[in-house]
Amino acid sequence: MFRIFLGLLVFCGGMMLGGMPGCYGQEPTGYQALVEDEAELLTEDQRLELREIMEEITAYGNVAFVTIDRNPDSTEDFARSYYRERFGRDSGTVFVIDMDNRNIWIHSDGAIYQVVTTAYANTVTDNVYRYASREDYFGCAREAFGEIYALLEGQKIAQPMKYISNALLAMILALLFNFGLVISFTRLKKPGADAVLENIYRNFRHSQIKAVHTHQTRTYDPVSRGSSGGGGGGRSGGGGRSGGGGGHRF
Amino acid sequence: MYECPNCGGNLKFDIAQQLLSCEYCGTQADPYSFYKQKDAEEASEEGYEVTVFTCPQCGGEIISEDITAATFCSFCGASTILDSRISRERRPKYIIPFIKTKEDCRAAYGKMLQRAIFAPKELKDQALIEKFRGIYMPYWVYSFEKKEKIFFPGRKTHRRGDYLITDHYQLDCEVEEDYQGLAYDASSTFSDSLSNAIAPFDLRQRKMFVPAFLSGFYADTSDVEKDVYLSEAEELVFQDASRCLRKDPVCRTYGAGRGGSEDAMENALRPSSGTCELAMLPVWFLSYRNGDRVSYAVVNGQNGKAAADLPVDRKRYVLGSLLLAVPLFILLNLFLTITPGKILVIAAVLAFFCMVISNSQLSHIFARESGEDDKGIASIKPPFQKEEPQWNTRRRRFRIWDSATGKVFLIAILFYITALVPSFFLRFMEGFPGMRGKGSRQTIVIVVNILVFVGISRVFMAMKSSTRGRRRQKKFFGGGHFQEKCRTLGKPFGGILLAVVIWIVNPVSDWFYYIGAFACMGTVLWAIMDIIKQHNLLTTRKLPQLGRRGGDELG
Repeated sequence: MFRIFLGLLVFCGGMMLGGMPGCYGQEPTGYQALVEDEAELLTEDQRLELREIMEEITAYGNVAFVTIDRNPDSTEDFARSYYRERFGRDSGTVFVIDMDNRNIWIHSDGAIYQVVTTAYANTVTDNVYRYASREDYFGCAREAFGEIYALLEGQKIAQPMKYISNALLAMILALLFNFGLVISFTRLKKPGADAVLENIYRNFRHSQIKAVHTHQTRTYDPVSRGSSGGGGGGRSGGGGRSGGGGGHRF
Repeated sequence: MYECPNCGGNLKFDIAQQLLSCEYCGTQADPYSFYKQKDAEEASEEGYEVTVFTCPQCGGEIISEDITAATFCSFCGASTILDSRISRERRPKYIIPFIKTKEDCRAAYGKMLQRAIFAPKELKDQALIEKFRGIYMPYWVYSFEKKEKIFFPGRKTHRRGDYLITDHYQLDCEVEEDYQGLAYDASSTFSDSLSNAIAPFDLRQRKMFVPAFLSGFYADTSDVEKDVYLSEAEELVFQDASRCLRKDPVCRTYGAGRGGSEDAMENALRPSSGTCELAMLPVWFLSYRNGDRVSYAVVNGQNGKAAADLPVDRKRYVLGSLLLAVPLFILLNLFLTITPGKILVIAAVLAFFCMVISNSQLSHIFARESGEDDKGIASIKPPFQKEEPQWNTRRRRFRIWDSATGKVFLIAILFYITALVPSFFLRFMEGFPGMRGKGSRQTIVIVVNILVFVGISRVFMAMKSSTRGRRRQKKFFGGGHFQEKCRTLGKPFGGILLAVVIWIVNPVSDWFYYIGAFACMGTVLWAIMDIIKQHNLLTTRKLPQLGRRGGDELG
């Protein structure tokens, strides 16, 4: 009897998983790999393949791939709240494709956020947004998780624009800083009044000042009678934000 | 020439001893007692006889007793034989003898050059430094006095119900003010910027002038009228007196000299009598030619304060910047999160910053070239001789922005190019996929258009054809000379314009941002090189055309 019940349960479970656009799994490391394709951007095979790629990341924390087609908030807010709902404060990362805002976003927290920082999240999304623009959402997700895994493994990812931008910026800042030095050290300056007066013979004295009342004037200046009310109580401090990420429009 | 009573040699003023000293037998003499007779014969209250050397190239005049030394001009740096003549010059009343020796001068100059890390190495050349000449520069020394009863207003205000009650008072007291020794250079060859840079001289150490002090040195002649700096000196005096008086508890109680009554107090403290005397003050002076321009280095002969026109060696500057860029690059990689939008905004901000610096420098250049920034030069130049800067006169043709209406028209176009064209473009692009309009973008367009309206109305206000309006107009355009500055400021402005258009259009592809940002950064680099060129122009001056004896036509 128990075996029949178990068999039915496995069958129903299999049917549910097959019917829903998502894959769920608890990995041996204790972290989860979730694929929630609400916008139905991937095929079933692509979801399974992507999940396999994502499983590698579970060695470091939870991992999720989410697609949505209706989102009244910003993609960042969605990714943050989704992450908190699913994984709390655990280590992990979530990659969101928001079809409503046409935005992709990576949000990370915990140990993974130490590696996949906001800067890297921006770099990864910068590197993969073109796939999303071409409607190759699977390629976009595969590339994004591939780069996240590479970062977690201690490898480098390509960010040529960052280096070129920083090199140019550093050069301009150095030129401006040095010009500041030139101005402050070599520009001809006029001495202040105090310096001039210190070097001359100066004597100023005056007798007791007398004041004689001459007249009085009155100016109408009504005091505001309206009560502005007391100041509201301050909001108590929040618990502080943790984690972070970056994204890109596509 | 002052002859030694022992050997007949030349007596020169010895800085270390502060006495006249014979080069050959070492005999020393007090400048006041020695040859007092000779001075008395040649000099009077009004004038004294001197040998004046005139440069045939620039017309600069210099007084010297040493005939053999007159082989180059200190003002234009030309190596030439100066014409000499005996002339009767106005006799100064005071003199501060040289206290700093040539060695002190060289040390002060060397110390100053240490701070000028990008200065060309030619400035450290010993042969050049040897050309420092001890020149007594003529200065007008102003002294002011006032000893009388003054009256000025005071008031106290308190509230009674819906009314502010103000009690008005007349304050009075006896003041005694005495300011002696405010010095301003009286030679047009000695620019205000340089004389200010080595000021102040301690006039309390002044001595009565006798020509013997000049022996062994040069002296410049005065050609600036004594009332040129009078108002400046007077203002310094009554502002200081006013500051002292305001500290009095009674003045503080009655709010005297505050809240709109400053002018009344300053007027009450305006000196009632003043004197102006000519004094000779010691300056070590060096000129060096830079193409068809000249630069100066000066050291205060009393306190050793040094100042110079120090250009930037562009090779050194770029090399120094490259070295500094390395740690900056590492820091940026560590701490700056670069996004395409962010780099575009940073580039535009830097371009704007360069525009502001460049505009300020150009204003300085125009003021310098026209002599506006030098009261001495401005005072000796008759109005018809006031030249416009060379680059302005090179191509004189009708330009629409010469008129106020034209300026308004062009400003309007400029504003609308930056605001309306992108917004139309934006609307056009909204039809394309991925270019959905956002509220924030439209808000920006509306805000920019409001700014256009406000900007144009401000321009109209500034353009009113009154003197005050013209002054405001100049201020509005960041120092005037709008059309001359256009070519230089147009470069970073083009970068900003590109960045603004990309930012408003907000394309999806990063390439637009990066290309825009790099192009904008390119204009920034170009603008920085322009700024250095402007700085170098500011550190050189036009060759003096003094015309004391005809100037160029004698050359």
